[in-house]
Amino acid sequence: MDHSFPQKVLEHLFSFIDSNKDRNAISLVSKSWYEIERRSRKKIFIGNCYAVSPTTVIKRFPELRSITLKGKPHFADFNLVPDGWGGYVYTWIEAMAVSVPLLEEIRLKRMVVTDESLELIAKSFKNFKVLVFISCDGFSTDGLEAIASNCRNLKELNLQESEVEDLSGDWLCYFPDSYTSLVSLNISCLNNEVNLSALEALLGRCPNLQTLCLNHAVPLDKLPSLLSQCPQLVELGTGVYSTEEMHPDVLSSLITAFSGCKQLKSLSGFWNVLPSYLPALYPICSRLTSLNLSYAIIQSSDIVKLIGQCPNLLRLWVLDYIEDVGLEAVAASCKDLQELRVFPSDPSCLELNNALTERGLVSVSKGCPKLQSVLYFCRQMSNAALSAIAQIRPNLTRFRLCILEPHTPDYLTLQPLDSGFGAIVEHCKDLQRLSLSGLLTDRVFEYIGTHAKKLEMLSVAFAGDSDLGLHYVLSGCENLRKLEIRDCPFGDEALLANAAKLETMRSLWMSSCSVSYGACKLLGQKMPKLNVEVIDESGPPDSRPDSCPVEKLYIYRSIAGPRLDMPGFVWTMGDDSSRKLELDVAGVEAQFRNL
Amino acid sequence: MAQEASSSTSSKTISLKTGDGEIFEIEASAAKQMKTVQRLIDDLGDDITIPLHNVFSKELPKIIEYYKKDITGEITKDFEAEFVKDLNDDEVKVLFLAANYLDANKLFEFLSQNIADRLESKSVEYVRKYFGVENDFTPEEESKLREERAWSFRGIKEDE
Repeated sequence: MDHSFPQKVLEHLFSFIDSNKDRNAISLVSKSWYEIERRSRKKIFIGNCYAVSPTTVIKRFPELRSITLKGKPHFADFNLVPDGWGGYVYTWIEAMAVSVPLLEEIRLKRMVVTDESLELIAKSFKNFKVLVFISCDGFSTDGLEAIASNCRNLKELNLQESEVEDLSGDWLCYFPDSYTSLVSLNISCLNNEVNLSALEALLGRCPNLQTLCLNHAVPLDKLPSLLSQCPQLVELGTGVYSTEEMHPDVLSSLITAFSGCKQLKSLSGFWNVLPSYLPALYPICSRLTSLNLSYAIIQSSDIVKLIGQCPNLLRLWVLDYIEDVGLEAVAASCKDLQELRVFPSDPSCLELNNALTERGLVSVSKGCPKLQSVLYFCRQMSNAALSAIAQIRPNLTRFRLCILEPHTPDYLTLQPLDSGFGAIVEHCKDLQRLSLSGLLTDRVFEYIGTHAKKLEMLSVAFAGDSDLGLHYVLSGCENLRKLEIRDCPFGDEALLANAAKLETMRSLWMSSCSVSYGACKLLGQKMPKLNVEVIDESGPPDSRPDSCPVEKLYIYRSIAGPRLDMPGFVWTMGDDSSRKLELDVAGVEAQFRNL
Repeated sequence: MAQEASSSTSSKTISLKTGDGEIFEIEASAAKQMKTVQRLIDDLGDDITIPLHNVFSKELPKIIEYYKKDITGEITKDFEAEFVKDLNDDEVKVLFLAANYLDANKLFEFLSQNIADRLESKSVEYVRKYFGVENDFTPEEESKLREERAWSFRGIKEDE
């Protein structure tokens, strides 16, 4: 029997293969497979928008329908990446507008979008369906008007945590009366009021709406009428969850409205909570799998009453108002909890918070057997607590601990927290993401290099003693893809000795460290496939000795070469074109002198 | 040959002869689901043993089993799971190609999904071996493509 697979059969088979990873695998099988695969690939994920050019992507995948792009480095979230650094999406939109008119989905994270980009999207892609902008900026509600007016098939508009210039709340009115396809709307980041009657009408005519995340400007007394238009919601972000004074009729309409939402599984929003309104949620608590109270200023006792009724929670985000006692309640009630994030209510406060300590995290680790992902801000920690967490929860895959004051030692022994984090990496064998904090020596990096074999992303701040620390990580962590470091005494040696490692990683960020300009230049010359970007707002590094440390350094691998959209405070090292220009100029100067 | 209007076509059986000479019986209504077979019936008549040169005695019974269930409307997720449970990757592949040859759409779709599932998270080398495909990239070409793949298009778990 002929065992060969005809092209049509392969094409058909490939249509069942959807994941990025598997598509990437089959594309490498043979030349003909590569061709068949690339012509049928619909979805592409690009982890660094500067790693590849739009032209390359479009040429290779002409049938693209969905693109995901990530721009600025993660530390941009902490204001460490100066404005104007880059991450502009316009060139991508421009290229796709010409060559990929059937594009349906654009998902961006940490990119700069402009109103022009939005207008171009609105008029270029007739079948456009999904627009997701996470932590993006650079656009205004004018751009949203263009999207609303033109994208007749839009299903999702998600502006999560983006910075939008809010010029008018009327952009929602630009959705025509004939538009009914909305499935997901997240406008939680907008600052001003949106036109509520337009919103209500929109909700009423979109029967497939599943996600609605309002902004804080939506008053609570309007929520029941909005909800009555879309009782089929699965995910809701409320607006402000209080009124100036408690109104019993608002409470009763809320109770009715929430009871009508039989599919509701996820809640967020909750700016300004008036606790008397919380009982409206009680009827739906048992169905909740996700609860985000990270904007809610409420007392521990009120949180406990709420959470006690949410036995099916998988995900909980909350402020430190929850306190250890609240976390004990979580440990007792939420046996299926997978992800916990505890945020600081007042990060700048230097006083010790005796109510939210390491004990809360230990309770949840002990009580929640499925806990995998932790982000925990606190003010004190001990090696004993970390060790206990590590041994009882070896299934942790993401562990981010943020002790607010840098260099904070183990509060019981006053020792560094090396052994505690060492226990984490030793026991949690599938750990893929780790953030360190507290007083840490080079020893913690030795533990990480030795044990954290599945680690893909590491964040380090105010830690280590010497280059040895960086060397342990770069030489030991086989699966490391993203490393971000700030305020650590890491210099040239470890970086240059592990230069080859950098080609196996997506990116390295180092700011306020001790890497010299000379080393950056050397690295840029030695490793032509890396973009070694020096970011320095204090002026051209050329004007200072080579031994001077650079302010910030961002290194990433790229097949697109140095980027062309850098602002005046970013330089790419070892850029041949600039060197060539220097040589040409020198040649001309030499000729001049000979005249 | 003109067919008589049959009052009970469902009870009529068709004889199929495999490439290795064995004969199997199948209900006429099941045969209808395999377009290649139906075309042969239309050309040769339903009293003749239909020759299937590219399907063999190892896989035809399995295919017949599937369509027996199909004509009685009994194909469930459980049945399908059971159907492939004890098949190794090669056996699924052979069935898949047979379903393609027979133009047996439902089985073909189901096996496409099953093969896609079996390929999940598998390496390039594994896929090559499974399909018996030779790597015709030069080392330089392959290296360049691997680089492009890793550097441009690969996500990390945190991206999910």
